Amino acid sequence: MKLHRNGRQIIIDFPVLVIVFATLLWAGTYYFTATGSLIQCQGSLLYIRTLLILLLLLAPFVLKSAITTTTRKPSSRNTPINKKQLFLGVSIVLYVWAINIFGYLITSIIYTSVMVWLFGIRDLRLLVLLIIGTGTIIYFGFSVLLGVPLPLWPID
Amino acid sequence: MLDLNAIIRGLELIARPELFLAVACGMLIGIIIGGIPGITSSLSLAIMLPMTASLTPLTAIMFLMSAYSGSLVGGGIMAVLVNMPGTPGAVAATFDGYPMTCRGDYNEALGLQICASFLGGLWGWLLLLLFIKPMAQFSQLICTLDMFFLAIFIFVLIGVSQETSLIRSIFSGIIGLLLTSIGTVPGTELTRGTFGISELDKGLPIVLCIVGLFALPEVFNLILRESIAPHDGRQSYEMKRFFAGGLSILRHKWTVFKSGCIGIIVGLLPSAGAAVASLLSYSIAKRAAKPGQKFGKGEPDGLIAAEIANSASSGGAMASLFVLGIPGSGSAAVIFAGFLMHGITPGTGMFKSHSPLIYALIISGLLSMIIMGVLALLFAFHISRIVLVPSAILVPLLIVLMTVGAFSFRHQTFDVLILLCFGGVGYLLRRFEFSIVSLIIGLFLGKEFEKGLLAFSTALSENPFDIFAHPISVVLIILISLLLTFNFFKHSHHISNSRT
Repeated sequence: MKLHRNGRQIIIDFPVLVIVFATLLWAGTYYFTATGSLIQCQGSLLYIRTLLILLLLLAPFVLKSAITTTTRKPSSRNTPINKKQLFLGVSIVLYVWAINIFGYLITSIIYTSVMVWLFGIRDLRLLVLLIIGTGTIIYFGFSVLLGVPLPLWPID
Repeated sequence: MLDLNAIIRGLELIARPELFLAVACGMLIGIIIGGIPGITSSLSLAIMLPMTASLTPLTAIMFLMSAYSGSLVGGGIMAVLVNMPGTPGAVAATFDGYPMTCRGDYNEALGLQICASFLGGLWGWLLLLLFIKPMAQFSQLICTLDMFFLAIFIFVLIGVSQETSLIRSIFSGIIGLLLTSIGTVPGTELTRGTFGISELDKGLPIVLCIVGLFALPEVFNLILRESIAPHDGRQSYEMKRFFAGGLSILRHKWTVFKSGCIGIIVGLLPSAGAAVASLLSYSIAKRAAKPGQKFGKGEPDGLIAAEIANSASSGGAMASLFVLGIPGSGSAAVIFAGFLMHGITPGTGMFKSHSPLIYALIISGLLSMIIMGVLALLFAFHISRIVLVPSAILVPLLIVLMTVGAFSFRHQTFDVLILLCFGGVGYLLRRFEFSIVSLIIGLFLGKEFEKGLLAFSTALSENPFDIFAHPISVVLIILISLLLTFNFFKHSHHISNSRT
């Protein structure tokens, strides 16, 4: 966010403000919920209270550091998020959601092959190799060798 | 100080070929597992523990200890190549190791990392062989109050070493401290900060928080590039450059010595471990940087400082385990269980009744470092190809690996969500110049900090002058004051210079 005053440009790093206020909101809520349930644990409350006070004391300084005044045109430090990155973010959320329904094996195989295809690799042999590789790592590597009880299938 | 008779009997104990095989197998498994995010060394040791039931006590413990040392190296290899610290101790290796890889010097970075791990481990085990008893006695001197001031000292040191502002760095650190308090209150069954989510009752899984904070944001950067390292016509791996990187460590003798000492001392401290050792060592090296050294941008000194301390800390952790029977970390706790499984109780009694066994284990630790050097070279030699794999293939594979690794940690899907959340937090903090390192230090030292704060408040309410009865705390208070004063004057000088 940019403001102009007396020929000077005031730049406010708005996301920093959001981070600070979100942290204070979380820490405050944490403390007030803890005061209700942890009456007998004064030591535990002391710890949370001390940290909350420290955060409150530091917050104005962090907010101050988010505001810069300049007469020059500032260089753009924060580059906008690329479409490819946005797509990747959405795909990760979808993948994690699908794991809970279809299990790890099928979802991971489909996810890897579809993503590789969408990112521009159209080599069919490579895709087959990836499918076999992903399946082998998950099934033999994690499930059989390491004994991780992965929900491999939809019914798991 | 040195029990030569016990050492000779220890040497006789390990002069069996099957023990060499056990060390080599443990090391190989450790290196491979250490590279998988979410599978920590303690978790992998816990998986392997039942398999050692049929082995002799010495073979079993040697196998577990080698797997532990191997996982520290394996975690470092992935940290340097993919910015994905497989183990918490490998976090600091990403700061300069990964930038070296990104600019195409991955052979040198790997050679340096393996050589540093080798020397750090050797240094740690050698000191353990020579000074095991004094080391263990030193670890007994450290009280809760000392740990409290040590935590503050590390925070301030890392804060003043960061390029971001000290205020934002401390702010991130406090967030980290608050995050560790989530879960069950120590000594009770009451929970705090879980907001009714039962999966958080046992607290946040720190290793997943680290993977989320470091690896996920990097995956988002990686997708915009063709591959991790640029394709500049050079081969994916070159032995010559690999060895040149490794041998370049000889130009950094002072860093090797200093970081080795830091690693061992921090390894002795309860609950500190490899991660705190490497982060502290890195910060001290950064603070003492010479003009022209660019820490955080691929400075070999930074990688050496981090990796030497990471590896050397295992020697310190074993001292308190062998002599006092106190496991300083999760991995040491599993090795402790390994001792118990074979009818040996670590502690003062063990030193009296099984001193040849202890020396046999220490000598095998030294031996395992040599085997580790050879195996890590072979392993890294092949895995270094990963840096030239197109991002379009690597990114989806890394996401799958991280997700499955996250589930493997505590066998719950909720941990995958934690990984994602911390990925988002890491991305935001990095973008808006809050220190991720301070947040991680907060996560590591939170439990000790809470105990220390209670001890400090008790000391203040009873007799404030009691603090002077703790010389280590007094020294740390002086160091903290000096650092803050120095930073204040440096900052004031910087402001007055920029005004003129």
